[in-house]
Amino acid sequence: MLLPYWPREVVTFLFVINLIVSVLMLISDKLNLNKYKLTKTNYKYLKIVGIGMFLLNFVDPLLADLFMFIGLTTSFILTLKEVEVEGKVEGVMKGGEGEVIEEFKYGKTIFILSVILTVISLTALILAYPYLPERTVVHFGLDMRPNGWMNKLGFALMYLVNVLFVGSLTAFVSWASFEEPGVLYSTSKINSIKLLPIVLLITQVIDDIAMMYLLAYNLGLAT
Amino acid sequence: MDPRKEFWKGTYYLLILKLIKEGGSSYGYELKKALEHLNPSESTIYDTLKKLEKGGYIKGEWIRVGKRARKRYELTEKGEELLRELEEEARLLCSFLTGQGKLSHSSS
Repeated sequence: MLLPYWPREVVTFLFVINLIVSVLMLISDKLNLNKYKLTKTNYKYLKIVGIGMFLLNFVDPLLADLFMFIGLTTSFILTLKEVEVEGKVEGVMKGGEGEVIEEFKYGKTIFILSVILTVISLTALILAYPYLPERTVVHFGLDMRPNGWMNKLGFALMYLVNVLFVGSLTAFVSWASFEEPGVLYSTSKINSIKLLPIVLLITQVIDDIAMMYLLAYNLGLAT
Repeated sequence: MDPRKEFWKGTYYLLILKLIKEGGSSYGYELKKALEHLNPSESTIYDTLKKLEKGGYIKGEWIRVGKRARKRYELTEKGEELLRELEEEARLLCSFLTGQGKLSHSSS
């Protein structure tokens, strides 16, 4: 168990939520999730993630969630790749002349910043891991007092998934915004070629800082 | 391994460059149609286009077509040059096959 210090009710609650989410993924095509704009990810990837999550949930609910985050990011990136191939091979349909989709000129900067942030966060974890206590704080209440604990390995896994999940998504989306802007256009209903990389970078900054703060707190460097 | 398939694989560069030049610009879809009888996989066309683009032989632009984006290609100067060279190679092969020449580049 990665969550040995959490109350039983919380773990059970997580288990039930995971069960519902994984079953929803398994029947995503029957529910026609894409129609309701809930996801643009290919159903076949959603199902694979759903199966893995469903099974892992019985081993450890947190492990199932970590798997879900990694799985969803990977499947989203694979879906973007498919869109790219399709758009390149099909080209413009006959008579379908339209406007040119401009590249996002700050996309490259965001891409570089995102990669640097990920590298810094990972380095911090590698350097700090040997000094982490066995019982680590992972959550604070509104009064800023710790109210959730995990073991060292669980903490490291959670940290890794957070950093890699947001980091790879930001890196890929910002890369697409200047290299293959049409891919982003095809997958989003709003014209978010500029918006999406910026929002993701902000999310990554907040996420990485939160993770590094937790790391510092557990090392006794922050109060 | 299918020797026929292997033979055509190398010619896609020439064929795609030629088709883009013939159309002037914008083709992807027509390109796929034109090559249909050779039955290339999507990834073959994709890889060829990608390599040509990376090498600077063609220039791609994403175009809005309704809710989707499609890529439109144009030959660059470098691409025109490559096309001429590849056509020369193809001519060499043809003349060899028809018994009118040897398989070597003329040193003129």
